[in-house]
Amino acid sequence: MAHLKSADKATATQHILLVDDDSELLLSLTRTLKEYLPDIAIHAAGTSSAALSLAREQNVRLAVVDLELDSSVGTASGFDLISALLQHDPHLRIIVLTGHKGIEYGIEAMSRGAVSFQEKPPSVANLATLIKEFLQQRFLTEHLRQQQTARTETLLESFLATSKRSQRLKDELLFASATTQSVFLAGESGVGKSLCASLIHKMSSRNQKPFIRYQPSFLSADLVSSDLFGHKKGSFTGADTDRTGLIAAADGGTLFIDEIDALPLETQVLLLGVLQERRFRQLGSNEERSVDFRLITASNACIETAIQDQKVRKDFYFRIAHHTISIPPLRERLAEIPFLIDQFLHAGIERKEFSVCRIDARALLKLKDYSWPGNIRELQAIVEGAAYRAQFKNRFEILEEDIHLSGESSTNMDDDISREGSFQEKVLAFKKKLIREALARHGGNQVQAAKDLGLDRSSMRRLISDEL
Amino acid sequence: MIDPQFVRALIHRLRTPLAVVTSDLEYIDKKFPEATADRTLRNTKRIADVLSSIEALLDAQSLAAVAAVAAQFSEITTTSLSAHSWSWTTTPYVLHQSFEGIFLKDALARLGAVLTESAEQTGQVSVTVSVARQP
Repeated sequence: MAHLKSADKATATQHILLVDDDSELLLSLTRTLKEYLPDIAIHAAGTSSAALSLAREQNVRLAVVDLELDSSVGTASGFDLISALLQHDPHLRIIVLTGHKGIEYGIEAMSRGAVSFQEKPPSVANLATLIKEFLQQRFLTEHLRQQQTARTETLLESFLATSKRSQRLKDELLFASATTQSVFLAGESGVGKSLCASLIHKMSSRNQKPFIRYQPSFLSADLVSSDLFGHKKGSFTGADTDRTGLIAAADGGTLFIDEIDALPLETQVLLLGVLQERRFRQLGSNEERSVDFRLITASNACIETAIQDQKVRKDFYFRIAHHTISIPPLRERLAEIPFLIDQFLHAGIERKEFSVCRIDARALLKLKDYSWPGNIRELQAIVEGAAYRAQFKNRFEILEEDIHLSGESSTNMDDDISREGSFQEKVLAFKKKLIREALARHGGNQVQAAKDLGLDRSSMRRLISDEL
Repeated sequence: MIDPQFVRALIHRLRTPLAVVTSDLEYIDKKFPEATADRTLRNTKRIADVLSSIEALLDAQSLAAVAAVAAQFSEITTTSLSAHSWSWTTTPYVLHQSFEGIFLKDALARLGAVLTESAEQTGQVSVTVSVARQP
């Protein structure tokens, strides 16, 4: 019953248009359809020009169109009217009602954008049902579109402030979400590339399907290919079981590969093939599978240099960078800091981690004076750390003293090293200093920091968890 | 042979007035149920079906397509059908004088089919139609 009610609501006070060169038929159909569709305003037009005028004036949502409106040009008059009506309103539903039978007429009408092809004489009861269904379909489509737009705007508003640079980024993200092209996100560490990729996915038509994030790090080509393509048991040393792989997991959705310059060249070749053919094969398998995913990649490295250094294949880059979005560093959008702080504090309160909701003016000035090498990720870490300190001191407001910037920390670390203690304690303090500095240089990115220090990822993780 | 273009133009010309009649009858049927317009409506539908059958025969490109239209005619019974042969029974009147027979034979002639007929004691006529296999 709820469905029927919504159908009635969808058809209420809507306008439809009947177009036929036979005035007798127009009079008869209008009168009979009115009996079946009492809530709908029915307009009638005997010529194409009258039909177009009514469509413009009356916000017509559906048109029933004859094909032979002008006997001097035959069916071309009806086909041209379909095109003209749809040019005026691409969402208009058009039902063709004609005395011309023949599949060629039906194909032409549908290819012009008509949604149904009916022969004369119609059953008016059936025609009325068809009109109701198409009006409801249009109502639901528009409702869904409005909801998606509202959702998209909310997502963007919650992520980006209103500065000019952010507006440009918003526009680019919106454009990317409306297309199916591969997107390449460029920007320093910590500027929010992952968040942008996730936003593009959430705003796209793929948002009901998975968003799979992958960072190849510095793994071997076998391992990366296995992560992406999956493998059959025994396909290489260490492949003890079958594995599905992330490409299959992203089917229908979005695959986001961060630090694309760390993707082994062999894997780039394989991935290029998948992007071109939309088919892939698990390692060790002869069976090809079709797959449909949208690829978003990102890198904080200069991609031109990566191509010159032969870390990224040129043909691969051209395939993954149909649309490139450069995300500006935080130091170029310092005006957004208050907005971002507000977002981080609200998010922390929602997660019930702290109840600090304000920042003092001097504390804010201190944050605005900083150069933010670690970008938004660093800002988030510092604001959240400050909020915890404020909370510890039973305050709802962050003060200047709660803010510990990277430069200040390093002074404390130097103190730790020069302080009296055992050799082991001093070595530990020195390790802490090196790690903190590397993390600050790379915006908190552990993989980059590890690479910088010449450590492998697991050693880096152990040091961070044990000692920081 | 029948001129298909003439027949199509005629059918097209008939469909619009038929649509007016049908629509008015539906109006009467809905507004004044006691007027029993439903019988008249059923018969306008019969007229529309005849027009559709003729158009389908003009469009038919195979024996199967012709036989499918013939299945809608009450006095024609198919006994066997293959890609190259179709056997059916009917009355001599339907075969030689009715519009069904005239349009059926015309459609078969356009397919290059050969018809052989044999009278039966029951007053029926058996018809075997064959078309040449493609080389």
